[in-house]
Amino acid sequence: MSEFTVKPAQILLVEDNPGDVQLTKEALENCKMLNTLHVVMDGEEAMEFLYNKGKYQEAPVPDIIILDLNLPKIDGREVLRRVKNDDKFKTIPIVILTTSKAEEDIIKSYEYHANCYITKPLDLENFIEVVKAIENFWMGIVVLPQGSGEKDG
Amino acid sequence: MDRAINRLKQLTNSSMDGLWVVDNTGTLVEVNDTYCKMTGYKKDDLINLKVYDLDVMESSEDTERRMAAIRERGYDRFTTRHKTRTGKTIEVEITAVLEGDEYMLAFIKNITWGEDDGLKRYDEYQSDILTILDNLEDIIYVADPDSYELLYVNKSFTKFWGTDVIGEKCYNVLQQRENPCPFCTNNKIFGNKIGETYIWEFRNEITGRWYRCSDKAIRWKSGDYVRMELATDITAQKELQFKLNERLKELNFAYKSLDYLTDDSITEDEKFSLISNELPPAFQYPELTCSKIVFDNKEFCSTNCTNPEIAYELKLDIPQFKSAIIRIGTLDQNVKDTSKWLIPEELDMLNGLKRNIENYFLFKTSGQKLLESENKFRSFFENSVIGKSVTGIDGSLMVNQAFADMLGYTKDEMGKLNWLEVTYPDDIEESGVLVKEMIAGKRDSAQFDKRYLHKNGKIVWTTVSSRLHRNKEGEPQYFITAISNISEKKIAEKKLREVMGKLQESNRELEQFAYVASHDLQEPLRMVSSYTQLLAKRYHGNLDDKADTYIYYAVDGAKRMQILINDLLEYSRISSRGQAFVKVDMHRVLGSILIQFKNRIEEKRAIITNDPLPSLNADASQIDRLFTNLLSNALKFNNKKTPEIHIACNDKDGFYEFSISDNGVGIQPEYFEKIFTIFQRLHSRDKYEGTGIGLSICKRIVQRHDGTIWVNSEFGKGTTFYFTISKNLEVSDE
Repeated sequence: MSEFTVKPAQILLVEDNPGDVQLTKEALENCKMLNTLHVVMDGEEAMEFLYNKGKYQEAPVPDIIILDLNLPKIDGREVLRRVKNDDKFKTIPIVILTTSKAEEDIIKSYEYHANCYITKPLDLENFIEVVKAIENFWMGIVVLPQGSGEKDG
Repeated sequence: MDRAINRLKQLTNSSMDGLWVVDNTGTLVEVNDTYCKMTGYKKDDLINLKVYDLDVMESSEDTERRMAAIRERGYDRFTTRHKTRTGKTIEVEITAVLEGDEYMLAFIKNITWGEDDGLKRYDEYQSDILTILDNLEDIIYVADPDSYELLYVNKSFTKFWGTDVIGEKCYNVLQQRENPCPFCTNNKIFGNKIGETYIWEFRNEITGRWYRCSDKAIRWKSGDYVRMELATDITAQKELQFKLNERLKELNFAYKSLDYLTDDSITEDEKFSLISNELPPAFQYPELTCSKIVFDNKEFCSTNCTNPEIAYELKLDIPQFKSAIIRIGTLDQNVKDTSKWLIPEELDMLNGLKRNIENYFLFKTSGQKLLESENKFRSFFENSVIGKSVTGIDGSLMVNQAFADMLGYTKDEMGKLNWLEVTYPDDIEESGVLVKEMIAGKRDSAQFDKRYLHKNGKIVWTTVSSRLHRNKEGEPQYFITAISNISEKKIAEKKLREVMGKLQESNRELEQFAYVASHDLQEPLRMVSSYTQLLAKRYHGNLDDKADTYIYYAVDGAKRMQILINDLLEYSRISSRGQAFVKVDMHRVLGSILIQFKNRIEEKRAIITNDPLPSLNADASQIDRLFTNLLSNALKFNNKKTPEIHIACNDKDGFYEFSISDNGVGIQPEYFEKIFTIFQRLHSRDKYEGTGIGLSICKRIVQRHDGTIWVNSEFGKGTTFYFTISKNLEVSDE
């Protein structure tokens, strides 16, 4: 592992609640995997990040997107739909992490090909566990298609 | 010529029969000895006589005609009578043949009865004829027109008048008269009427029977004309004819009684007097008949009625009278057997009269009733406090005071209006449809709400009940309608609806508020909770003890608030975010809950039993929640060594009644109601966990299933929760 230049995993967090952003950061700090957390606060910014627009000219293609549903400007559901309809980005796993327990949101999300749907745990310990689990599962356990984006290893 | 005659002469003498030779003029030129013997003449007496001199049946013209016929055909055979020398006649059979151009030969055979030659043949003939005559039903007799002595009678005759009658006078035998009958028909068949048949009918006074008679003069064996009568018994036909006549009489009587009954110009008493005078039926014994019509104490008697023996009584069925009778009697004290006194025709006639009189009274009553009911109806119509109208098919109105008042018109004003003019325009169509349906026979009546227009233009709300009246033929005549003013009710209803609407709206808003509040409260609360926890985690032991205690209460409070908000959210979702009703098998529900509670049940060593449970239509997840809450409570509030829980279900009318009984801590009666209130707790948090929302949620779930929930408990001994679920919840297709 030390012989390879290990590029950190690029994680894009789309979250408008700074409290949750901070909690997510806290959770990821203790992770085994090397990762870079990019945070955008609304849907519009998320789209700019992906398409390298505005201040995100140099932004990388994320390895995973953690997406809240209720967002200002462009809604999280719309972000999901657009990403999954774009051949360039549709292989990127999207994890829905939201407070909504509404059946409708769950169904819609999977119909739009979300890779998994998680409601935010009310308890801090649980919340940290969940974030760690996401990171561990998607970055460590599953095999993702190689060569997508700028990854070369 | 001479030679021919000679030959004939020889021939005549050799013949066994009598023989004539006759020339073309009908003159006898030769006769034989046999004929001379037969008649007693000498040959010389006979030569040169003409045929008709000897033949008593023929004139000279008859002879000429017969001879012409023989010349034509060549022969003839016939019977006739010849005069003998003594003046008697003999019956002869003659066979005549043509002999050359100038002569005819006549062979003559004596066939007279009693004469040697004809004896045998005549006997046979007579026997046949007599057999026939004696077997006729008709009566035949022959009598001498001068002496009136009977010369012949057949067997049918002897049946009535005896066998020793030959030689007796006919008027004596037949009519028991001393002298010839005044109606004797001899003058109709003798004299210049000889040969004609006279037919007539008459009734024999002695036998009482009717006859049709055919009378004719016939030549008797003496050669003289005698009277023959053939009489056919026609009594049966005659009786039929009489009955027919009586029927006519009866019919006339029925009509006459009807005439009297329907005659309005005479009083009732006169009517029955007239009828009773017409009454004497007894066609047979009119002079002995008396009749009465009796109504209770009133008697109507025929004119000759005194004090009769009752022969027949006929009861009349007339409600107005206790008894009404037609009574027929006889004035003859000697008539003993009155049972057969009236003949069927007379009984028919009396029955006809009975019907006439009964119908008369029936008609009178129904007429009266009609009048009474019309008066009743009028009074009912006029005095009713409910609006009434009679609406013609054309829409014309006849209204009572109440209806006129309702719309602010006078009765007369309304009478000039059409129903369209007083109906609120928007309601004309609906009323019109109902009217058409009634006229078409699709419905007899209609009940509906409609708006009328008050004279002042304001709307009058009414509820209307209308019925179409038809005549006997089924043709629509008019509508009878009852109209109640329900304007005040309508206003109240409208207000109620408004209030209800507002209430529902505010309820909805409240639910929405509870949902939104609990949902939106969760976000900041999660932040409070998360960061106090993070604080506790990172800085526990780094601050002083007091700080640690403060952080503990902040974390604990935030946690409890999260649970409360969660419960509140769930509570608000029961009616607003419930699932569709589906078929739910209660055994499966219970089964899955028991699996869920497996550890707790084992820990507490609880025994859970249940009756057979039904399947019902319900919100599956809510029913699950309901049972979970109640079972959880039953387990939780129980400190017995062996908690016992029993689940039962009773089939009530339209409902299933479930009960969950335990032997737990029990509830004091004053809390039976309170426990179903939201956030109501009976125990401290130290003793039993919980937010106090479980039973409120149960109550809301049961209410959503059209049921009720209640509790029965003995403090310290156990508790039974009861709830009902409606059987009539419809499974939705979703």
